[in-house]
Amino acid sequence: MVRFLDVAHVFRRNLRVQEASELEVLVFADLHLEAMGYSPLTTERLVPVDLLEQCTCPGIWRIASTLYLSSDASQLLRSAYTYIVCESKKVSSLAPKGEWSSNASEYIEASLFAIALILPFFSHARARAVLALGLGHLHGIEYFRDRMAIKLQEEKGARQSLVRSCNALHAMKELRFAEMLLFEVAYVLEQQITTEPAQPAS
Amino acid sequence: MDLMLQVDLPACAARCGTPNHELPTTYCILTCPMGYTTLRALARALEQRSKHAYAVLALDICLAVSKFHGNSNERYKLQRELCVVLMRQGVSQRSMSQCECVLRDQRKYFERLRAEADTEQLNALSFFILPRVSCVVDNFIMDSHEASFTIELLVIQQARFGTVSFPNAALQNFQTDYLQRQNICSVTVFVHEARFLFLLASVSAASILLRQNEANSTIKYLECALASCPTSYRRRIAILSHLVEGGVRSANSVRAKVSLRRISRLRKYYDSGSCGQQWNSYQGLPTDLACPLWHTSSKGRLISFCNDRVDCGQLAAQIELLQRAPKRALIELAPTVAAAEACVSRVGSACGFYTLGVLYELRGRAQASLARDIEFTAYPIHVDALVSEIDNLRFDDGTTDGNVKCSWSSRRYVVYANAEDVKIDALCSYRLALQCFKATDDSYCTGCAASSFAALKLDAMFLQDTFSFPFSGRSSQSCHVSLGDVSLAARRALDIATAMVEPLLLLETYLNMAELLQICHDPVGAIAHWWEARELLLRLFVMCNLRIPVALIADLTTIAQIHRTLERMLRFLTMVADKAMIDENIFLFHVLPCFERDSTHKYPRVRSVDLYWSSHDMVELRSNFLIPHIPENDSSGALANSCWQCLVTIRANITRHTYGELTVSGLHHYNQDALRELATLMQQIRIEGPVSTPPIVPTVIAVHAAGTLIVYAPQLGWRHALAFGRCARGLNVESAALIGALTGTRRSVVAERKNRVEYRRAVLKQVSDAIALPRSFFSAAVAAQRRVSFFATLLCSERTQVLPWECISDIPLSRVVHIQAAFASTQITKFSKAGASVVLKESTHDDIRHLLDLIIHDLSSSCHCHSGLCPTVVSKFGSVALKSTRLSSKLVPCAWWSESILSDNLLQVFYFGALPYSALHLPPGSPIQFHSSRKEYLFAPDIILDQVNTRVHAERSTNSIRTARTLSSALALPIIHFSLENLQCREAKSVETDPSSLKLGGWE
Repeated sequence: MVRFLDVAHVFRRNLRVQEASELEVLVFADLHLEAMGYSPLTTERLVPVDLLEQCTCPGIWRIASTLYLSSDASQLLRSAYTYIVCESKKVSSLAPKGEWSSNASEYIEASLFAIALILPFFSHARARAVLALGLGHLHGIEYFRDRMAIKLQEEKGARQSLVRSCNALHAMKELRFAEMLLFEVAYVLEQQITTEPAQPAS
Repeated sequence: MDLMLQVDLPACAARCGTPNHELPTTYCILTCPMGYTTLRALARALEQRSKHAYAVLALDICLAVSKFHGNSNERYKLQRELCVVLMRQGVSQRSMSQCECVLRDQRKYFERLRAEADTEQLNALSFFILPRVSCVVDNFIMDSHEASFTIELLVIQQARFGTVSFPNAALQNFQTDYLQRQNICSVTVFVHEARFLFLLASVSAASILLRQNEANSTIKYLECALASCPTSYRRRIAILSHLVEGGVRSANSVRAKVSLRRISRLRKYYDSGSCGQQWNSYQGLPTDLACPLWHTSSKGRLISFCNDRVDCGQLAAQIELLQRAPKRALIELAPTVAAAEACVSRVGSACGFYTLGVLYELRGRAQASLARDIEFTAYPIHVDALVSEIDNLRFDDGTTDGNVKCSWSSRRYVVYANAEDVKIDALCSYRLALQCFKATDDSYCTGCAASSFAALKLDAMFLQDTFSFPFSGRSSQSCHVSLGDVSLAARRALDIATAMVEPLLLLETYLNMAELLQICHDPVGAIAHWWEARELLLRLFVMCNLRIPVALIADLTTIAQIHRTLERMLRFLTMVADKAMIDENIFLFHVLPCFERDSTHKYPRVRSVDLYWSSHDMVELRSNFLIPHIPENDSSGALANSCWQCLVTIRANITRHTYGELTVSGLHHYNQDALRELATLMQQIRIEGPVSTPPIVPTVIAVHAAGTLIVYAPQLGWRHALAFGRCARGLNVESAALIGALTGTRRSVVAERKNRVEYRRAVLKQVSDAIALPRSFFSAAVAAQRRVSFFATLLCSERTQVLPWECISDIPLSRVVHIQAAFASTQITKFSKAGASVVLKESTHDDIRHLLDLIIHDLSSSCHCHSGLCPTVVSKFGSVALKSTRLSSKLVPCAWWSESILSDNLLQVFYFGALPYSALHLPPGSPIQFHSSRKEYLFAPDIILDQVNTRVHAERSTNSIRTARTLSSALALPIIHFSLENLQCREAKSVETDPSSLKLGGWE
């Protein structure tokens, strides 16, 4: 993946901006998907669904993420992250300390979002990027809800209702965003059709 | 493959099954895993945003894709998810079929598990030894949980959809599955869990069906739950409270009262601290299972109050109202209303307002009933209710932010000077209920309360207007209800009823509007509204043979609504319409007696079924955990069932609307569909059903409808209507006592001292003066007939049967009785062959006595005002005489009939003789209806039956009508001649008559 990013860098230096962007987006999207427990190759879900959906334990997504990030993927991500950080000249503020943090995740999401916007609408790379973003928002809201539930248990009285309403607003925004992104992906994928001509009757 | 085409899958998936390659093959990325992931995530996002319909579409495509990939595990999961989403979307056939599909899969999976268990040769002992085996057990438990969850979903959906028989079948399937699983895996936890889930499913179904007024199924489910699961006392109380409500709905006051007593007994026992820790027996279960029914949606209504007198007040008041004791109902209700008011005044929640609205409406009903119930009340009356100390008030939804603690002890003492005062209080209660329902934005309840408010006020105003006499019952309170208020309420109720398409409410509101417009001097508008109501009634409820099929199966509330509607229609028709219009609608006079007979005969039959269950099968139920099956008896029962089904569906839709699952437009649409279905069904019955000839028009028709005695001679076009009974004029004590004596229940009232012919003549004269019918009314009516006859035929409704028409009439009378062929059951032959006596159940006896009480009290209400219609009567009917005596105190709880009288006279019937008059009010299965060969009967009051029979035998006349007439004059008692041949023969013939010959005018 690092090599891909290198290639993308070369493309960009040669002013082949679109190819560079597509490549970068694909890499980031794959990383993001893998961090969420999806196969970067086929986009199938690798973490068992039951573990994610049925368990009400808070922060399960986070646990699943760390599970996957403890393998080689985390190394890749770390290097990718270093690359991005160096590229964007933010070394001082976000120096990598060899561990995966929510800051990194947010940064990758932001980069994905920024690059995906400049890609053509019907491109496969854009669809993949948007899918990764949409899934991220969807899982983020689940994680967020679990965390909120714990927080609400600790809160009492009027403060509880305040927290609940704030969080509900935020959650609704996130959810709307996820729905919008996923719908866009579904639409783009539905348009990508190949037709094999009919065989003549023998 | 059908599904794929249906959900518009990409063409490559659609092409997969077709072998020919002549069509171009299309490939789409959406069918690849990336597309699947996208769609699945989109479905979840849509579902979380409550866009269930779109989520269903997305899941459908996912399902098709997973089938295309052959991923069965994923498919099972998707199907279950689809099941839940479909249920959230709303109840439909699709969701139920999906549930059944999941259940099928579940059964297959279970078979596989069982096969696996067999191959491993497992036994119960080794379950906990081998890890592999315990894994299998886990699978079993997981599987059974999923199955029971799905079944619960299915049962709830079916109950909400308004189908009565399906939940029953589903629960039976559940039992079968459960027993199969229990045979393999008998782990204690599993058994408890499965029992608990079954209980949950059945109680949920029962509570949903109860809201839709489907009381019979509710009672079955609840009794089964009570018998099968000896669980915590709280759960038991919750179930019992539902059972009380079911008993009230099905007019079974005995059952309701017994259940209520059980609740207080349980409370007393467990509050005294002598209870064991029984209700904690589920502590080993997961938290959501250990949570008692208390906190689930199916908890007992209003049982969350702590004080016994407070939270059971509503149920107790309902029972008292059922037993026609409105004053006691008011006393029972007072603490509950006070508690609810206190609670709502502290924290106003939606649930609190709703509960308060329901309580106010109930109080209004009790007060309206008290105002009508004049015989039993001697004014001034006082309602003395002790509002005792109340702690821990809390409403069901827990929105009151913890328990509100308040305690007080006070006395509510209300004095009513006359009936008008009570009526005004009733109007106030209805108005308060209206405001509460408005506050909770509950349209249906608002409509009902507004309609009741308008109907109560219009009832008096209409009578006042049409009889043009002032009401003397001047209120001691200032009356704030103006015609404008009534108009507003009536129009609002009509709007709501039209929007919701609820047929019974619509009928009531149409009649409200008709009466209102008549009062406002707009007869054209009034008749137009009345005609709308008539069309609706004909299309939806009345069959060609003038019967209303729903009467056989409906619950008490529905029956009362239809009865009231029929009465008001008849009253309006007689008061307002001209002869042509009455002639066009003459069949309505036949519909009312038929309906009364059907509806009064329904309850004993239902009760006998209940008794059967309670006595024979409860033991079996306890042991086998089985649900009783509700049998479909005959064709008329099935017909009534399908009509009732449509009404239940409409109620189910309204409930869904109340719970926010349906919009008003959706409700309108669904209810229109249900009504269309009902109309189509009725139309089909009219076309395919047995053809019946138009009813023979009797010489005179006498109907008591909505406080009015109507006597109508169709040939002459004479009508005689007077406010009689409930509202204004009535009989005095002696006349009422005499009529009571005629019906056989009040023999003690006419003691030996007074049992003389002269005395009876005097009383009959008073009765005749009260009715104020011209002396030559009957003879003139007979003279107007085309065929020459020496006697008049008379058609009476249930309540006018007791009036002594034979003594009032100047010519011999023969009463027409509407006895249906279906009632001639086989029990009669059993009686005559074996000669054994029929022992009536106590409940039946109870019921009959109440029926007679109603008749008597309707006819014998006091007269507060005296019109110019009958000036001679005025001086004799002072209200003072009525106030002094209380008839109910003289009522002796005698047996309904004496067996000796009956058995003697049954033998006599074979040659010639009279039967006791009380036998006329017997339920089906009584000996009188067994002799279908006989076409005419003589009936005499029970007291002088021997005397009459002696005379009959002495005279040996062949003409029974003349005999009846002679005896009536001689004894000054009505000896009633009934001719049964009219209806029975016509039904037996079912001649080749065109159905259009029945000039009902409204058929399509």
